[in-house]
Parts: sequence; C-alpha cells; structure tokens
Amino acid sequence: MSAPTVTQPSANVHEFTTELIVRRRSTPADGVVVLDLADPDGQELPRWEPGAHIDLLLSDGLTRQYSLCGDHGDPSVWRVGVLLDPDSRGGSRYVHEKLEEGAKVRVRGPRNHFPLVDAPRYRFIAGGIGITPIFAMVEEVQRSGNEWTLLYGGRTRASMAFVDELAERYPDRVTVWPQDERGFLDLAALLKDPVDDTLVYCCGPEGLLTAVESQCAQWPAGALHIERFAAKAPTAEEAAAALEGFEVVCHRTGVTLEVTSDQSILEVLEESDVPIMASCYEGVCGTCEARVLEGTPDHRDSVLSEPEKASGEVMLVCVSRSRTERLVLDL
Amino acid sequence: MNANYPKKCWYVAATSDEVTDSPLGRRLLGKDVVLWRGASGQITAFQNRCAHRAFPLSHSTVDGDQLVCGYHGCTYDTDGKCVHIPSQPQVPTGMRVPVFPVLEEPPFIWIWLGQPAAAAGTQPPRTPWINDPAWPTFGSAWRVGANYMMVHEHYLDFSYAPILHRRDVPAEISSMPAFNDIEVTETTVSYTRLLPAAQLVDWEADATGLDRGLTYKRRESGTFASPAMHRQYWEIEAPDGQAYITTRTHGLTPETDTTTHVFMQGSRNYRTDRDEVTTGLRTFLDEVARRDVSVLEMASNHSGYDGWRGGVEFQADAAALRARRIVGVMLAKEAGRSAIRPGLAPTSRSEALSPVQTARG
Repeated sequence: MSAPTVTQPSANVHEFTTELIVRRRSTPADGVVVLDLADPDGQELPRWEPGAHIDLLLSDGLTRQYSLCGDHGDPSVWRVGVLLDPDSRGGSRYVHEKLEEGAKVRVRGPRNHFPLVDAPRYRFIAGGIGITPIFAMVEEVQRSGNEWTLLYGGRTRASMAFVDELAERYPDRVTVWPQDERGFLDLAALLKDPVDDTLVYCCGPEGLLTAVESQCAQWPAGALHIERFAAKAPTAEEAAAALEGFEVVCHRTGVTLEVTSDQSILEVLEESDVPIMASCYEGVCGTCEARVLEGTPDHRDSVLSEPEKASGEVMLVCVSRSRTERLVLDL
Repeated sequence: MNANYPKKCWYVAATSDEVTDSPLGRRLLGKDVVLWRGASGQITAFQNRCAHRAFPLSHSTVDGDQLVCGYHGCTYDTDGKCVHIPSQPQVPTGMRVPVFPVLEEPPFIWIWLGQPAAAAGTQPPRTPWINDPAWPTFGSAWRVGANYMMVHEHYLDFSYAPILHRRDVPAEISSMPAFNDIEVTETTVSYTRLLPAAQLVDWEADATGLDRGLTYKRRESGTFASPAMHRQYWEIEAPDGQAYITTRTHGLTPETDTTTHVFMQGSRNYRTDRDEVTTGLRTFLDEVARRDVSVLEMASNHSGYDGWRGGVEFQADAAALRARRIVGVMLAKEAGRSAIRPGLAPTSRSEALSPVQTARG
C-alpha cells in the first residue's frame, strides 16, 4: 500500500460543540454550584452514558472538563457540578461568578473515559466533587437492579453535594463519611478482601485515588476503575512548541530518519520501507498507531483519548508530530 | 462470530400498522418474539413460546387485553402471567412467559431485548419529522441477508453511489468527494459532504419539479443515531436558496447474526401536497434498496462481516469506523470488560474486542 499521491482535503473531525443556556443553577453544598444546561431552542442534546464528561469552553483558551451527573435518560438537559477551587486559575471561578441562570456557555462533548462496565456488584467510592460521575452511575445501577454500595467522603457534611438526597434515597447502600466527623475513609475495611464479580469505581482527589489503588492491589486486574481528571488539552502556546523538524528512530528496524516540516512521519516511514499499516492518513482510523519508547509526541489525531495522549505512550504517525528533537518508536 | 449487537438498546421491532389483534411472530436479535395489540390498543411483546408446550404464541388469538394460545388455550395477561387454563381450575403457580419492554412511537414499535429493568429511563432516538405534516413520509421494510453493522457501514459510506447507483447520481459527480465534516459524540456520529454543482438526474427532477436546465449544489449528510438507527439526507439547493431535502430514516434491527430487518421511512420537505411525488419516491427508493441489498448479500455470502471489516479502510470509512467504535464500547461494557481502548485499530488483524488491561492506573 502506498501513500496517496494527492493529498485530499481532510475532513474536519470534531466533537459536537454548541452554545447552551444555564436553565437552572443551585448551590447544593458549600463551594459547589450545580448547573442545568439546555439548548436555548429546546433541541435535544446528544445522549451520554454514566461516566461521561463535557468541556466547558469558558473564554479564550479556558477549557474545563466536568462530569455529567444528571439523568442520562433525559436528553433535554446536561447537569454538571462545579467545585470552586480556591486556587482557581479561572475555570471554576468563572463558573461560580459568571454562569448565572440565563447565561450562555459553549460546551463540547460528551465523551467518556470512565465507562460503567456491567457487573453484578459494585463498590463506589467518591471523594468530594468526585461524586458527580458516581451519582449518575449509582442511579443507573439501581435501575438495573444490580447490587451496589457507595462510600462517600468529604471534608465536612456541608461541603458534600447531593449528600442528603443520596442518604435519604438509599439509606442501606450509602455510607456518608465527613472527615471532620469520622476522620479518614476506612478504605482498608471496604477493600481488604477482593470480592468476586465486583467492580470498584472511584472518583475523587489524587490522594484518594492513590490510596484506593494501593488497597486494590490484591483485586483481580480490571476490577478497579478510577477517573483522574483528564490532563488539560494543549494550549496554543504548547502546540506552537511542536518542532518543525525532528529525528525519528525506529527501534526494531534500526533506522534513523529525518522528518522535515513538509512531511508526515508516516510518509517518511513509508519512503524508507519501515513496515507499518496505515489507512486514512488523517488521524481518524487509528490504523497507524505506533508505540513511543522515547521522546514526547505532539498529538494531532482525533482517535486517542486525552489520557492516552497525556501518557505519551502511543501516537498516530500519519498526523502527529514531535515536541522533542528525537522520537524513538517501537517500529 | 459472536453476536455483535448491543442488547441494552431500543430497536425497531415492527411498524405500527403491522401489529394488530392478529399476533405477529418475528425473530429479533436472535430471539423469537410475538407482538400483539390488545383491545385497549396497548402493544405487548412476549417470547414467542407458550409456557406449556412451547407452541408458538404467534398462532394465538387476542381476547380483550389477553392472549389465548392456539393449542391448549392457555391465556396470558399483558404482564405475561398465565391467568386461565381451560382444562383445570387452577393455573400452576408462577406460570408465565417472558415479557419484553416495548414502546410505540408511530410509525415505529420499539423493543428492548436486554435486561428489562435496564430499559427504565432510557429512550429510543426521536424521529419527530416522520409525523410532521411538513415532511410527507412513506414507509417501506425489507430484510437483508447481512450482519446489521454491514448495513450501517454501507449507509455511513455513500462513496459507492456513483458506481452502484450510477444512474441516480449526476454524471458530473463521477466520484463522491471526501467528507467535509464529521461530528462525534459519545453515542453518535454525523457526517456531511458537499457536492459540486451538477444537473438533475431523473428521480431528482421528477420529485422536485426543479428546472432540468440548471445546475444545483447538493449536500449528502447522515447520522448514526444508535446501533438501531441511521438517517441520511440528500439536499438539493435551489437557486432561491430553498433546500429540497429527501431523507431516509433507517431502523436497523438484527434478526440473526447474519440477517437484518430494515424499517425505512422516506420523507421530503417539498411538494408536500403531491401524492404522485410520494409514489415516485417510493418506487425509486425501493429500487435503490434492492441494489443495496444485492451488494450487501453478495459481500455477506462471500466473506461475512469478519471478512468485511478486515478490509483496508478508506477516508470515506471514517464515519463507519467511528460507529464501530461506539458499538465496540457498548459491547465491551455489556460483556463486563473494560471498554476498548479508543486507540486500538478496529480491524480483524488486531482483535478489536479483546479484553484490555486498564483501570489499574
């Protein structure tokens, strides 16, 4: 297979992006606002599944991700919960100060990096505002009739969004654990012994995620699902840091190639007969995925998820480039 | 091949006119289902098998809001519970037939064949244009001997049109241009391509009544709305700026792993009071469907879906590949596995749905 001789205009592959209106705003906990976003003309919004999140495109370059936490069966509204971060560089502060009822906001998505996999039993763990995706999940699991428990921690009861609603609706399933009343979450008691056919879903601050990961070390592979708030998308500045020319080392083939500004990595690989499969030549099909052994890719595809891009472990060589002078690929 | 259709999804089981007080038996997602309409108008779907002697309940009669089996007369209510047996006074405790959730949104009757409780709070894609007087609509249905994803992918990539349907696409458009836009969400993919100005072909001139002497720009677009639904638009731009839109809404329902029910609704937004336009479009679109079925069955009989998806992908397949990924994630979740990693090339050379180690961070 050879590269197309004429470069076709590439399709603009993009996520659904639109302007929504804040139909309802509430403050269910200290420092937390909940926004119900709807289409100004009452159009249906794209469907989503528990664990999904959207981008709020707040102003020039200010993009923040928030989990959807409402009823995913209701296509008329997207609900997000936003914690005011005292160290906010603008995102949550903007939401808290500017997004009153009736305000407009641009949104993009939804996408899902935290999918709810079917299982007979679940143990949900939420820390603080990490309750937002977990709330959508427990509602879904409850509807399906599967077993679940939720351990919900926060600094204080007053800081914990949806806490009364959850405790009232599911008194036998939800354990509320405000730190000022009960100290640190007793993860050891919850996770000490792995349980068959049970998945653990956790969302919260980094410290909680790390603790849960270490407690789950004995659980079967794939039992633990966590959501790390995705690394932010590269800014225009960072994108500009991509190099015009760089060197690609093909580790297995043992060749080193120069990539100039008018060539793609894939073109250079094909010219040099480095074995690689490719298909769409525009970063949409994922065929030309290559493992990165060294160096930092500049991702320009629309296939890899944000966490995958951030990991820097794989790249699509048809469109992506390099931020380091040297890129070593497992080819 | 393992079944590649998600069960947690609403599929079209039938059209409203098909389900009467004469029960309708139909295989859907590999299950034998009977659909019937009680005296109150409510539709019920049972497993098509009497709890007594496995007799097909499609050979029953409807009595009020109950179904009476045509063999021994076992009578079931709309909850599937057996309420009467002619030959003995007592109904055996717990005697019932499985019931599937159904939802009637004319002209479609939707069915949920996954775990019934999981249907709560979910809705099939909406199709309001079908009942909008501004969009005269007719229905047609057929069956294809091919996996349902082959049918989806066929409709998601219209680049075959100048070859397969060459008389129905202007001669000036000898090849379909690349997509201009692809829009994705977690659950859907939509695409648009703009076509250069060209003269009308016969079906377009007959349907729209536009001047054959002029050239017109066109837009082909569509949406994979769910594993159960695809919609395509063919839009002709008139000199006055009015868009003459012909749209096909396809309900696609797996019958088995290798056969698919297609429930098509053809709509237009022009010449709304002209019945002969409806008749003409019906004849035209049925002929198009015959050709579609023919190529799909040839490909299916030759190599099946595994061979189909093992092929080399083109740029024109971008929307279809997205749809595959959406379905792949749904299947992985239902199988209790982590969703496939989005970066994995979904071709046969790397098993797209193999378990992926993730999650441990």
